[in-house]
Amino acid sequence: MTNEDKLKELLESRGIDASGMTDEAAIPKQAEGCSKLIDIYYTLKNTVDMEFPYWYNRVWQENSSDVIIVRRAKALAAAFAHLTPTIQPYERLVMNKTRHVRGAFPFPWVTASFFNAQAEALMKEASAPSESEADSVSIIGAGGGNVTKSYGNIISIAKKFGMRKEEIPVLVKTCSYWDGNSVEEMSNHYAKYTPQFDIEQAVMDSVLCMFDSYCIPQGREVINYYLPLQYGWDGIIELCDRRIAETMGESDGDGLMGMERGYYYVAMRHLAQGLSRWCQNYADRAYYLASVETDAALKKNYEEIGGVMAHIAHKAPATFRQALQLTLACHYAEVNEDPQSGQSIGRLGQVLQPFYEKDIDDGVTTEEEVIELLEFYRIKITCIECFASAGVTGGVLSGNTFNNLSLGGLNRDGLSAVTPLEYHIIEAGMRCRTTQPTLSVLYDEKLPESFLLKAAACTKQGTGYPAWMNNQDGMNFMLMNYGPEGMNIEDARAWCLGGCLESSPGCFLPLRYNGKVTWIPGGAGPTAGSGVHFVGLPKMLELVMTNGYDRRINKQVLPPHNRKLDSMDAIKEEWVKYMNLTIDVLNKVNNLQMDIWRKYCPPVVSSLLKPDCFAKGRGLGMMGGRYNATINFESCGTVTFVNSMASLYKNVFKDKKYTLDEMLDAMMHNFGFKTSYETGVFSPDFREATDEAPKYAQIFADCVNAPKFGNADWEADRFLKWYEDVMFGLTRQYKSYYGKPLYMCQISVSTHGPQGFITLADPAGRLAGTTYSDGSVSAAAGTDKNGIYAIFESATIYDHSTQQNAQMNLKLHPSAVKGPQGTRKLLDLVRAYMRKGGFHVQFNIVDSKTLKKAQAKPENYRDLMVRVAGFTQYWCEIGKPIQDEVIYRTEYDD
Amino acid sequence: MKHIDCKNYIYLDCEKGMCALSKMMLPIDGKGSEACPRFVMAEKCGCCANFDGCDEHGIGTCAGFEKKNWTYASCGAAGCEHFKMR
Amino acid sequence: MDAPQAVIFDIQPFSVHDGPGCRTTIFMSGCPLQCRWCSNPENHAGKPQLIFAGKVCKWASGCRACIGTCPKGALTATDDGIRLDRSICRECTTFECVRPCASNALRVCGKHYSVNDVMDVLHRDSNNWGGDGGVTFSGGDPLLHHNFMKAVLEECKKDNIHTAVETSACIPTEKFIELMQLVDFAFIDVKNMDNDRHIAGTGVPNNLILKNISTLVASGWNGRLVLRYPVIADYNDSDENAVRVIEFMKANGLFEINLLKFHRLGQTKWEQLGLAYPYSTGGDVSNELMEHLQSLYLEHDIICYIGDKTPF
Repeated sequence: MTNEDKLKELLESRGIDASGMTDEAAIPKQAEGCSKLIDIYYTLKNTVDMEFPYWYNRVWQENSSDVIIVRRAKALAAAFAHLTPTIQPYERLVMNKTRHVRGAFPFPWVTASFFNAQAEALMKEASAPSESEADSVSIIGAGGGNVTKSYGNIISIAKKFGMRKEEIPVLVKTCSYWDGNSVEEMSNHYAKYTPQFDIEQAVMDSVLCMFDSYCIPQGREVINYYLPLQYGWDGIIELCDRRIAETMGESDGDGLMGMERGYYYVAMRHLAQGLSRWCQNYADRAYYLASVETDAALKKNYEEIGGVMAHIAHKAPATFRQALQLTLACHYAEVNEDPQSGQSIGRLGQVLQPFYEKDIDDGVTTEEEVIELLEFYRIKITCIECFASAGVTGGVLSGNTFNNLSLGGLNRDGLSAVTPLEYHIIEAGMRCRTTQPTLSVLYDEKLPESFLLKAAACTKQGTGYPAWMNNQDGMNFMLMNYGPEGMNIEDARAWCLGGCLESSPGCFLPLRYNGKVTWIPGGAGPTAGSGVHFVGLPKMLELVMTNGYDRRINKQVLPPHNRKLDSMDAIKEEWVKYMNLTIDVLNKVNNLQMDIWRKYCPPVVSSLLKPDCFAKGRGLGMMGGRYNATINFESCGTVTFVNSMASLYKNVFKDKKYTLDEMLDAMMHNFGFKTSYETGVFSPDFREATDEAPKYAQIFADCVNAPKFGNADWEADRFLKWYEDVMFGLTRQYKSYYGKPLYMCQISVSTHGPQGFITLADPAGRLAGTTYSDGSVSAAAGTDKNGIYAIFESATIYDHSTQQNAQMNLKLHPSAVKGPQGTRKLLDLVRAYMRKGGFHVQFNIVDSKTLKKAQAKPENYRDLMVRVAGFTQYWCEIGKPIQDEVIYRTEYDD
Repeated sequence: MKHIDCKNYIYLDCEKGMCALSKMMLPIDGKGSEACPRFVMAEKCGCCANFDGCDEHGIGTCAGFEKKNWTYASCGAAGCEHFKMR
Repeated sequence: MDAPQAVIFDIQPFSVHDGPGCRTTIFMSGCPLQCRWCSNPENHAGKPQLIFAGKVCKWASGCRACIGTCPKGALTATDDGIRLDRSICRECTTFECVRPCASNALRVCGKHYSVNDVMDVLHRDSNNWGGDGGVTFSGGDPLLHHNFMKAVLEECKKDNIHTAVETSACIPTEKFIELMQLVDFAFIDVKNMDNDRHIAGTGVPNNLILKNISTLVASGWNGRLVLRYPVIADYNDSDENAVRVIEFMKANGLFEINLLKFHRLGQTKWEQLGLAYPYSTGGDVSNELMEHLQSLYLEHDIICYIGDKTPF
């Protein structure tokens, strides 16, 4: 008898629960086909090509006599119908954004200036003779799939994507058509009429605000798969025909939008046809590959794919696999219509449960087969790339497209919504560790313990998913924000995450399948983002202290307030005034951008999928969706700002150790240290003294040692409370292009890197150029001295359900959560925070040694993933400043 | 002829693809990019009977549709309703 | 009488290896034993101590903030860093050198807490623990602070907080038994069954410890008692020692022991205190030996855990 068996026997004889002693079952390996696909994935370059934009552009040009929504639907439909279908051997689920596996393409109808400005340079580069053979071999390693430099016949675009030289002339030619009439340029034209446009421009120049709305007009929302799942493309076409007959030429008493309905259904008909052809092309390709395949298993696989694609090209799905494949088709369709990130999958395990249940009952499939399919699904979603401008793609998104999949929450009846299929989704996430889809649990006390433990066991693996969201906070936020539009408790239960953390409205729709009705959840509004994007709160404080003058770019960004800042109240008041002004000027310009987008580049795919667009016959951009108060204001650097305020209060106004001028002087001189611009190191911990260091040593220590958020210390936390209280009312004074109030979205994504970069040293001792703290309620690295429970206490000093989210990133050492007891304790930790009303928590469970090794030798750690700020990304594909910061954050606890 | 122009070429990324028959990785450029004897021409605008007047950048005219328009030789045409192999 | 106070050198929330469930562990300064392998040497002085963490000191990148701050001249600059005259530092109560240090390289370890201070922390943390968690008092030896612990434990009982201690049990029997009545769960360390060896390793004999354990069991105490036994090569890793522990446990009706494999995680702290670490070499034991010792206990029907692999 082994020691372990004997020990268990003894424990049982003493009546001591021995379940915690059992080693956790080893996680089965990923499906063989998945391993093959992943191995290929790791070698792949992000690639842009022109098939999709070419066809869009051609058909758009040729149909100038159509009303806009029809013209756009025709253009999109043609683009889908002409995409070259790519199917890899071993794939069980198919389709891609483009003919390349990690493919993307530019959307010149949204923004073309980037390319038009460099058209000549690009043509020159493309015409240059190919370099030597040796140069055409790519450099694998640092950067993963990112093409950061041109080589051989490949031109680097936005330091992330590779484009083949022969496509450059096509890119240039296509973009030239849009010169002056892309969404970007059209909206710029009108933006000039907004009052104080010069201030808006200065704000953007200073990077006080990170980017414009048109850059990613869609995403940060939850897709809705209901219509295609219920009717199939042919069924939708029939419905369109019926509705065209009913509405064309009929205003139905609505003088503004009534007539639009006819055009809407014509547009939807074109779109559905294009999508149907796209699916059929995949069927044809699969049958061709089957015809040349000699391996029996692969041939059978191709034939099955052909069968699935041919079926869903026309009919509503009749199996789980068809249904899953159809949701994937919808997803790819959606992300191809606009540059977008954060097109979220929603509560897929609840949407597809009826299909799963029937197939299991009928013996058509097995649980293992389902898990395997879900593993393949992960790879397909991981391959989704987004091509936006360089700043957005790299700076904000770190390359991730945030296709979030939510689990749990409550069903329409207010009971646990957890389905058996959701256990398999987690299992697939444990077996097949890929960055996407990231998983989020909508935690509710009503969820089964077995499910929560399963989710905790997955979180523990160190992949960063699932993250944990507070279902009650989410519902409360929904009711508060969408109540005025008529949201009731039932629809509130349908919420989930769009993007990485954007709580998005949903609704339940009655899926008739397998002889019964299942109310399936799905998204019910447009983008829950795309308002004012990422305002750097610490930078705003810096400007208050510098009388509106940005010392980095030597420019007056905000008008001088000329006030003697002789109290904390004076600082608060000026900060609030600047914030008001900033939101005001940004909101007007962003409203224009989004208004031009919805009028001249209206959403079509999402206007088909989102309820109640089809019922009303109205596009999503024209408020056809059920809920429209979705547009937000995004903040960055909350805790860095809070800590700065706490230090100002303590050192300047309470203890009166320094004058404000002395503080500002120290900040200007980076407390006597070299800046990270000079040293190239962005870790908050790195400091190299200059000759001036002794002069600032004392003030620096006092700033560093001032009260910090995350220690359950009111002296710091009260500034978070003040800030949240102020911003609640402040943001809601501004109205989106939908005429609804803004609200706060408090995620940093990766903007805490670039926005930290443009911010001087701050009163809390953060040095110039280093990252802000991430999230909105994570303690700044190294400043939480009282442990996790104290962070929880600080974070929940205000009601999280007043805003769209609150982001908490925690680091845990792997040893703390080892074994089955560790899983339980991790769940205890999550539960503790949720009970206090914490909105969100996610974990990085990896030790800093591993991260450092991976930074030194990325090629050996191609599969290492870390949680950054709301999403999981391959370590080697994130920028150095964020890497430095993650190491520092993790190191502190080792 | 190159692998990338073959119907059995599976697109992967901007530098390589895979052969559907051999499952080997195929470079687009340089050594090893030349097609094998089992080459089957893939449907692309460049080999379509409706494609004409190709310039030095690979851009020519497509006459396959109601309205003539420009297109480019390497554009895939497997799903094109008017593709005719030249 | 003044309200009781004690020096606490660390408070660790979400402590997962110091008793059942998720806990808050409070580390108290002062210990009747001076074990040569101690992993918390900062408690030995029983008062706030200066710690210097050379690894995070920014001397190399040009920081000189602490130079000239020590009024007693204990801190001086050398070519490759600062030098502390520890004989002066050990007596220090003012720690002037700490304030200018922004990198936390110089810091004070240990702070005076009142009963209310501790209860504030526990009240803050108590709704985080979950069903089976609570507070663990460790150290040092918490039971050394009799009045303080009595007051704190009584408060805990009033608030239904599950209490655990990690103690050497090397305190006067009457006081020990009195405090233990307020404790739900205890780890009691046994270091060596041989008295001479015990003295050699810890500085004190083991007879009081063993007597206290026996007396506690005999008193009908209804808490859960788990012995803890650090296994150190060439000190207490022999079969003979194990057999004697087994005999002792059997004689007293004890049935749970937790063997802890020797580790050197405390070494840095010795260095940071300016002390020589007696176990910079030696003491290591193999996993095989740990399993062998475990099997000896199991054979005698004693529940024996290794390290943090416990059912709680």
